[in-house]
Amino acid sequence: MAKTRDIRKRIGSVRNIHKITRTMEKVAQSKGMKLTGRFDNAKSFRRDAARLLTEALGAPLASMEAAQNLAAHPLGALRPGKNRVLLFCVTSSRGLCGGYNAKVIQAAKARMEALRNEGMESLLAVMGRKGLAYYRYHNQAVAISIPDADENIPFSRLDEVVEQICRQLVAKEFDAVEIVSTRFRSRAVQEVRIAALLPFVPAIAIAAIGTGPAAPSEGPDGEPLYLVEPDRGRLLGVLLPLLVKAELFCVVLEAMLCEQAQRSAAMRSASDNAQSMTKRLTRTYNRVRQAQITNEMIEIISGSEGGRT
Amino acid sequence: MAEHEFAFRVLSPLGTAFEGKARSVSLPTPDGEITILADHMPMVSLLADGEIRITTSDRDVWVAVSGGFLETGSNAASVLSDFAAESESIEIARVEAAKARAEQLLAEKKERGDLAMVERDLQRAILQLKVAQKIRTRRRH
Repeated sequence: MAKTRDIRKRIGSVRNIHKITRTMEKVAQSKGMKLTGRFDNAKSFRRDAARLLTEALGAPLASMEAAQNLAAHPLGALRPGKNRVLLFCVTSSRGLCGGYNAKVIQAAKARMEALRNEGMESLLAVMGRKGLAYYRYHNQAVAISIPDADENIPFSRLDEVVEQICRQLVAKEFDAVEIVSTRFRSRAVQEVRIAALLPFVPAIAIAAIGTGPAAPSEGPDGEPLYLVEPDRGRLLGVLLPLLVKAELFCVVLEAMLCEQAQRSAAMRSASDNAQSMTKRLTRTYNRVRQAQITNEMIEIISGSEGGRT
Repeated sequence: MAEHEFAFRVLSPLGTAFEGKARSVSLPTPDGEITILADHMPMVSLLADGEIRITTSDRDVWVAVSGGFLETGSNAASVLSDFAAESESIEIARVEAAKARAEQLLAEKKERGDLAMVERDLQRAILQLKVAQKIRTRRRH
């Protein structure tokens, strides 16, 4: 008797788990859909901003001249003796998303080791509560922490972060910034990549333009004659931070998209699991119940047989 | 007079605030307001905080913008900005709440790092209210 009741209880709780995980899967899916739209918007903004860079530099992005003009700006200046690198890790604020955070942390760890072998120091900037909790537990110092990262992060929140990073870069607190984040290749495939963010080199802008379908606007005779107001230097001074922001915003949105995709996959396998478990438990339950009935029958029959003789 | 129109759009990281044909567009720049018409020469310019007025064939549209860039060329113009809100999409109640919150934070004088951001939020809220007000007063006529 007690056994059937236990099994019934377990079936109930596994069913509840199934309900919860299924709902979480759907929620992650719909959040992912919303993020796809925001990510596309951010991408087209980044592409247009990157195109403006050509005008601000007054030379095609791939040319030497562009690279030199860019290097003249503090945010674009390459530092030969690059000693300290800020690793910007994008993790999530919520769990239950498979190996999402672990992979980012692992990649950051590997990169830190590689940098150490090359004789460089690394600093950490961590976005998302999960990553922060990891580094707090392992007693590793985090230079810049951004705990409030969720899918509704406003562009203005990243403003603050980028301004801080740029300020510290110019103040030579570190010499380069690299982003460790998850990139979205398809709903099923995401990978952690490490990409350079600062100093800003033309390649970053070229990559940003390359992601869009349309070709950069150019006049019939090659390069249009642009009137630049107020002057190229000032324009570049405003455009570069904006580009860095656009780049970071895109990366963060992309990472969040991956987070939701991975969460929805994790929740799907959890609910599949729960479903097959319910099936198994129901089967056991039926068998036990049947055994009990058979037992009782045998008892009754043998009892009545005994009475007759 | 369709031939005197040009394609204009306002882009922010959150999406497109305006996209369509315009007859004239007035924009705030650090050196003062400029107005561009169709077939403007190719130009790149910085923008200041303020409002963009877009005159189309049938109505006027206002867009609140804080900084950013204007790019014109081949009978098209686009604005790229950190922040852009079209007057009709502005929800007054929400902006007013944000404004009140920013003012309260300023009054409490939180730590210095936050102050600049709060001040900017406040400025943006005021700007949005101003722009939203425009469309409302016009409708009354």
